[in-house]
Amino acid sequence: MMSLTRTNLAAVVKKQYVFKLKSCSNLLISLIALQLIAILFTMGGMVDSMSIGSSYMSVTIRFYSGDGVFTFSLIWALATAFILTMPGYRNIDFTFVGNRLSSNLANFGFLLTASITGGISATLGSLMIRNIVYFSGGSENILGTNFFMGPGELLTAMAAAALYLLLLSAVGYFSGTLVQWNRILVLLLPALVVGTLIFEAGNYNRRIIWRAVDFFIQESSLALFALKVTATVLLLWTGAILLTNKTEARA
Amino acid sequence: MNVIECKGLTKQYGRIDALKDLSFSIRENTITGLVGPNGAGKTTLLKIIAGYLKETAGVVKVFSGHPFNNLETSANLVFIDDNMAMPATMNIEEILNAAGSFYAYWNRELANRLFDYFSLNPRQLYKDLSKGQKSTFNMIIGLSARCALTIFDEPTTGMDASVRKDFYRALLQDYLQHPRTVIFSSHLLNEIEDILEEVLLLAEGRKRLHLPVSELKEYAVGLRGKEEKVNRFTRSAEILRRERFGRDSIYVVTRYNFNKTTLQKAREAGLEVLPVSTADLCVYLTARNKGGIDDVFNQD
Repeated sequence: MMSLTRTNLAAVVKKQYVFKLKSCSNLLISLIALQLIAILFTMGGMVDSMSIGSSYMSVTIRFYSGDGVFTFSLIWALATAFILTMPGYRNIDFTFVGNRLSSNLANFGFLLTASITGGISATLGSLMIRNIVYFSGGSENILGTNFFMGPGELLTAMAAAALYLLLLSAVGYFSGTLVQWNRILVLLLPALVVGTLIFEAGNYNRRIIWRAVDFFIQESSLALFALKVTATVLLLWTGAILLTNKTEARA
Repeated sequence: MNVIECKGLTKQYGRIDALKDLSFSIRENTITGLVGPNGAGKTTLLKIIAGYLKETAGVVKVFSGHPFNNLETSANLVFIDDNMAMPATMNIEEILNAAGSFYAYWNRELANRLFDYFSLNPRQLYKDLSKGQKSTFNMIIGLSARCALTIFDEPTTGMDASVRKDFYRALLQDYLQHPRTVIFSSHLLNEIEDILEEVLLLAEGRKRLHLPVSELKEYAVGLRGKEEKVNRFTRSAEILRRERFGRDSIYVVTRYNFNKTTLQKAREAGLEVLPVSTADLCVYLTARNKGGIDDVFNQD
């Protein structure tokens, strides 16, 4: 006779997480690819510039930044988290051992890993842009403002970038879960967001989305920012868990 | 001990009943064939047992627990069908190793031997396998997982006849060495009846019967011959099927409740007494009418 195995959530989540790192390696590769493309775009002229000059001389100032790399990474985090909730990826969690909760937790683990990786690589990407500018433009043509980064600044930048990616991934994951929970939301959710943005564009006093964004981007203390992001992410994760716990799998 | 118990199990999709008031139990260490026509509710039932779908009403217990969203159930069960979601990024050797990490009793050696026997290429991606190769690969996972409850839902899609035969033998061999509870849903009852111990027949979401295969084989008898003679012998019997041949010949399948002398008399009267295969019987038992497709053409 075959005896039953006892199992616990942590053990299953760990197995699913390891499996997910392998099975979703294409998603991580796409993040690095996107960041490289963003660097190419930045070097190729996706930068703010201003020119001043007269008939005798002209000066062009280009503002290189890691914004492109960071923006691409943010979009990646939002989209990837959304994709993970769709049946194509979700069903893989039910091919072997798992339940709704273990599937969600393994996904959170994956997104956390991706956010930290993405935060580090996006920051390194902006360093790479500095290097390329330095060696291609020549040091004499560089304005020193914000060019140099100390180790402390670098770590802060990495942490902040990782937190932003985590936040966006949690938003993407929660939206994806909502859409899977009720398909009508595929239409309603974007309509609601775009509608609110349009409404808010004309109403300076009532700006929910803008205020929500300000809540994070105006925070100057890293510790407080981390606290805000963590609290929001936990809230969105809990919401996603509650929404999926009653839904059917492989239906 | 019962591994699966269902009482009044009902599953509705919107207003349609996929399963209706289904009650049965499956004992530990048996191989049960789940059969029934398309749309009988086989897959729905199996997915409820596996904890993927939630029943609308009634009670379902697997290993004495409620299967839906249950991690303990999932850890002791493997569900193989022709729609397994596999990652597109991993080759089948990597997927096999990943599968092994999930199951406590995973038999790596058996997996590797089956892999070699069916000459699968370990470097191939799952999505590039042919339909039959996918089914073969899934089957290897189902056997090697050695789960206390092993569910095969139409596992032979696309397999050629020789691979199917090998699969049935492999299942039987491994089952004899490591007894476990197996549910096997299939449309090919005549192929699998030799490895089955019990048959659970569904039709339109209801249980039609649940019997040991040996009893099913003697469940009915067919009589063929002149219509009036056949009618004389089957007057008081429960008729499962009636087919016409030519002008006055007829083939009738009835419940087997004759005694030996009656059958002898039927033979003496010039009737053919024929055994009814389990596969045919299941078709007759679940048909909506007694004449089968012929009724569509004969409107009298």
